[in-house]
Amino acid sequence: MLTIQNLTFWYSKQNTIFENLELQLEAGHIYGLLGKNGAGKTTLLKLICGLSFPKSGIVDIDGHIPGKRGMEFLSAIFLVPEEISLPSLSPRTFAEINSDFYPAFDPAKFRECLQKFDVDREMNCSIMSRGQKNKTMIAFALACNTNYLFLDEPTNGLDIPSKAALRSMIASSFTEEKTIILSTHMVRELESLIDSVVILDNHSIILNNTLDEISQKLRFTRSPISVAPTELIYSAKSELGPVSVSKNSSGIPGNVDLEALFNACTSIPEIISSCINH
Amino acid sequence: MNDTLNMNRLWLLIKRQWKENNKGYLLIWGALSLFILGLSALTFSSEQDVEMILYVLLFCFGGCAMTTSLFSRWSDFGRSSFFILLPASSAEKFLCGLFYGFILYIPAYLLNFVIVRYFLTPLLLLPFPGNSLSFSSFIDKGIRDFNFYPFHFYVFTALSLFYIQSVYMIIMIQFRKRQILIFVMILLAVLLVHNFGMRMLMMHLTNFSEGGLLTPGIFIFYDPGFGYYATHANTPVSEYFAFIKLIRHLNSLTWFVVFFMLYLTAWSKLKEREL
Repeated sequence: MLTIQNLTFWYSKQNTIFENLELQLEAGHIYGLLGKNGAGKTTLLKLICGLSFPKSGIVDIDGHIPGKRGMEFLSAIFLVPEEISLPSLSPRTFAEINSDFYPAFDPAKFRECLQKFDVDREMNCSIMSRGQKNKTMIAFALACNTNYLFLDEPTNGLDIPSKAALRSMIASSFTEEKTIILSTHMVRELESLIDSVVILDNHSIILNNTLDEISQKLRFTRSPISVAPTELIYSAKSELGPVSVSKNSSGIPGNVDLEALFNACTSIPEIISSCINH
Repeated sequence: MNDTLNMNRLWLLIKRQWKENNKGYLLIWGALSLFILGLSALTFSSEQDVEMILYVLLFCFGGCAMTTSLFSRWSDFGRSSFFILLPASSAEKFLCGLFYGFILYIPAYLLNFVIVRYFLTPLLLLPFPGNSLSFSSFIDKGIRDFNFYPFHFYVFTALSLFYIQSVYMIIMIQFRKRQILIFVMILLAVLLVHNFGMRMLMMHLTNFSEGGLLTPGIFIFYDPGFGYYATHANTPVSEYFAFIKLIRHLNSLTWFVVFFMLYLTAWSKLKEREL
């Protein structure tokens, strides 16, 4: 379990990123970490991985303090950053020299992922495109089989078939012991994969719920006419037409429109949170 | 799971480092060999041994380059985050850097130096007509060189490497950008402070009040104590203040301890490095 208590963090005191942030993530979920640009998605991942240290508060992953960078902790996590930089080696050699550090590394899985991504195992990474580098690193990350996998904007630079391949590979490698966090602002691309949503805004977490919980309490429609005015919580115009978020009085789960949920949450966080959690 | 030092993991890191950086390392060795070859060819006929200081500097900077290829990409988040999160302890990562810049580097530099200076240089110079050099003269010079320099010269050389390398590692780990510039600025600042100190000492220990900022000698550890070299009335003057044996050893020991602490600082900086 990943627990964050009273986390405060800043790069400069004038610009606080998190203030008394609280978060609890359980194994067996694929979390979508959503937030506006500069909300602190990458910073939160850095704090969770121990690449940055909290100014105050606690980050705890299965009893490990990430900042201590203990061996068990490092063997249990993998971060795929937004900016990938690979040495001048082929993916095969890259895996050969790094896989021994990860006890659960599966070479067959690595080969399979590269094949699905259509990346040549013998091609030198220095001449790869950004998308190919991303795919190599994601393939390595999935093959490492760590219990915690953090992917920062994983769909950046991927072509359309690769995005589909990414979704299928994450889904197939996911097990109940694992916790996967996908930090993204391209919610539609990973909508089918995510089962829980964490939304960051205004220095804290404004929503942390499973899609099941959300869909039981909220209804998302693309036509405001069908929503009773007393049930309507939020409405807005989007490029696909009007969108509305209303109370789901029937309790029958429907689809969650992540984009509408995100916009509603950042506009009226208290109302959305109280609707879902009460 | 051993969190501090596991020899198997260290060996894996050493292998990984070689596979990732072998071209860079060979390039550094090529450059070092070329420098030694050029310097040997240019200064071989002279009986002056001033060029030895250039070999010492080359030795120190080569050591820095070899050590810190491991830590020099902090401005690249992708690479540095992968390195920090790689399941190996910071002690192992640090020792891997030292293995290339220290354990392997010192004997390899010496071997390279001997081969290039006393075997390759003759091959380069002997074919030129009109020079009176012979192959045996190179061997003779080699034997003379190694007999000429006292033990304290080697202590001084080792201390120079420890100092420059440890400072370089701290800077490489601490700063994200412009590390080389910061390193050069710090080295220059230390040299200036050192020279200023030497000048103050000389002004009080001798009756010198002349000489520019850079005229004092820079050999603190030069046998048999510390000394200076200056120009007085257009005449070069040098003098040594001899230490008794015990003080001399204590002096060297003090510097060894100081530089060991600097290496420890570099390791602790690596351990606490944030991105």
